[in-house]
Amino acid sequence: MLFNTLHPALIMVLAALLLPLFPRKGRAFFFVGVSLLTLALIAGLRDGSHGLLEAFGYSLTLCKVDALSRVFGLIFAFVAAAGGIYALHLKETGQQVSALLYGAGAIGVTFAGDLFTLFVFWELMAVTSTYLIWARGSELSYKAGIRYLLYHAFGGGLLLTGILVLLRQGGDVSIIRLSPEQGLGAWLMLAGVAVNAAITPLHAWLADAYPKATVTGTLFMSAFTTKSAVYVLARIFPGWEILITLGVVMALYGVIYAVLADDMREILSYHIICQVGYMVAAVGIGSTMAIDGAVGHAINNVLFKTLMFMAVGSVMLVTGQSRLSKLGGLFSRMPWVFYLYMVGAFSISGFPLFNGFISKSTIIGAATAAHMDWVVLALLLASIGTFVSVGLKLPYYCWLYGKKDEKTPSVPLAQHLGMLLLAIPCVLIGLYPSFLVNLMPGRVDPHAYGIAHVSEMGQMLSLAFVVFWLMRKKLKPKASILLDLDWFYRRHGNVVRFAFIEIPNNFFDACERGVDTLARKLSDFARNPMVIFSGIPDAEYTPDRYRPKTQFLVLVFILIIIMTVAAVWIANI
Amino acid sequence: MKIWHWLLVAAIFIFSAGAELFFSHHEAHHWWSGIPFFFTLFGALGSLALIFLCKFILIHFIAKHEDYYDAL
Repeated sequence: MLFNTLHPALIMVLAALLLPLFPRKGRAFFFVGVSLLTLALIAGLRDGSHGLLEAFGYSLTLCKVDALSRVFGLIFAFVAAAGGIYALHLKETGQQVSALLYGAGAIGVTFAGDLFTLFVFWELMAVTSTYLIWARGSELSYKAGIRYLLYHAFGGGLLLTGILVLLRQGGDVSIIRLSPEQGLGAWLMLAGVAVNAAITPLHAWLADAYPKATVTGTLFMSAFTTKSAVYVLARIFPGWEILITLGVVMALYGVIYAVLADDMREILSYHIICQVGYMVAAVGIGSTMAIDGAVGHAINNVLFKTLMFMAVGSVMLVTGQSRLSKLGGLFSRMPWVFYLYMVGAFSISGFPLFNGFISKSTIIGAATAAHMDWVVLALLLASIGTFVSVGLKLPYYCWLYGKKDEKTPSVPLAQHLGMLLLAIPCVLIGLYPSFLVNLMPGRVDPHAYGIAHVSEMGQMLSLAFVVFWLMRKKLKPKASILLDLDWFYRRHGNVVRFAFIEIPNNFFDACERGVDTLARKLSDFARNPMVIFSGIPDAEYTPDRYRPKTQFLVLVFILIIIMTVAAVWIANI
Repeated sequence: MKIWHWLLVAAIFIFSAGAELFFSHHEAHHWWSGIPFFFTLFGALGSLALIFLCKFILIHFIAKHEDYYDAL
């Protein structure tokens, strides 16, 4: 009963309010405890609608539970707990509070039974995640945070406009499956969700912001924002064919950038776009198997992607570097971080025996059943690129390439524990796919370990390894940044800012300085008109200051007498 | 790369290719189903094409110096 009266998201909101009251040393443990409590609450929730209320003439459902929402809720709470353990060293209350509220936003979206509740939690995610970027404290992160916030305000605006248009067309606030024929409202909502799902061409915020957030901030961002958007896509937009094309474009676009990027967190960020592409394409296919594939891949992605962000975060924390061009030879200093990272790398690459293989097989199976050969080949090509970029290039140039680093300090035990907590389910799901299949809404068994599929992946990935090894010098990272679609508003944003903000600002600054100078001179003049002759602006007027000296007066007096005497004398001649 | 690394990669390939050759009797779901070792070629050519395509794009279009956005 208790489980069904307490909304898991509201527990996290309450915990975020209480957290600053705890002793500083206990806050990180409180964070983990609350995440575990939320996990237990979600596991205990019964199917159905809870927390019904009437507001503004609408019937709102704060918490609606079914297999789809439960599995997303479970994974969000689980990753919050794992992230909390990884971040036990963290003493920044602001980040802890933001992360709790961010988790509350993601879980609130997952269990929202109406569009208004969904929107409120959607915006809570946007605001709290922005703080996790700003908390890095650098000028770069401040600017990236502003861009991120503006982008998400735009996305939220699209979503809200879509909801309002839908209501005006006679729709209901309850969350139901929409079709493309439902017109402008539905399309605007899709565009709003597409921003959070980083669907190309609305993806640029992700690779711009995530690498500039704090180490722990990126963990939560990689897990919550895009995956909650995938949940909404699976809930409201299954079977929208446009999503198939967009998903495939995302998968290839993300992987190309991931192969090229130098910054480790940028590589992983582009890989979020790539992997979400699989999910978006599967949602577009829309069959029961495809939706199971999308959901399963979202769950697996949260596990292995957070694990990989943790590993590169540990490298960053001990070296202060995130660029591959400045790293290398770290294996001897952190072998277990390397091994744990490789569990994530094999998983994301779709290696048999790891969880990514199961969910990718489900998606590939769904595309095969829908007779979409081009989707199958494109997604397999993206798998090759994934293996080359995050399975080979990143670990090779971070840990194995170059001279052995003997100076870097070792990684704390708590960080290893956080990673281990995520690595275990990656392997367990790979070995026992039924763990995942039983949590899926459709419970479709992909029979991933068919000989044909295992053989395909084995051939592809072993050859990809050989090619990488032969061509590895071509992929050697160089210090640079990559232009993406954010170029349009970052590069030209500077021009616009220069023309419309800096030029007027400079003009008004110059005017202000001119008026200020004039006012000061007038003030000086009013206080002391003699300043014109003396040139001493600060001097107050005093008669004595400008009174002629006595010697001068005597001299003038004598001169006048002499001249008078002389004049009288001349007149008498 | 140590010898056992190469042996491992070779074992994975031989196991996969052998499985396809001797044990896989899957139905022709795709146009490539009848082409032997299609995924060996796909893996090799796919990764080669990706690496060269990426380098081409990188060099000619998207790589810029690190303070590119601060230059204005």
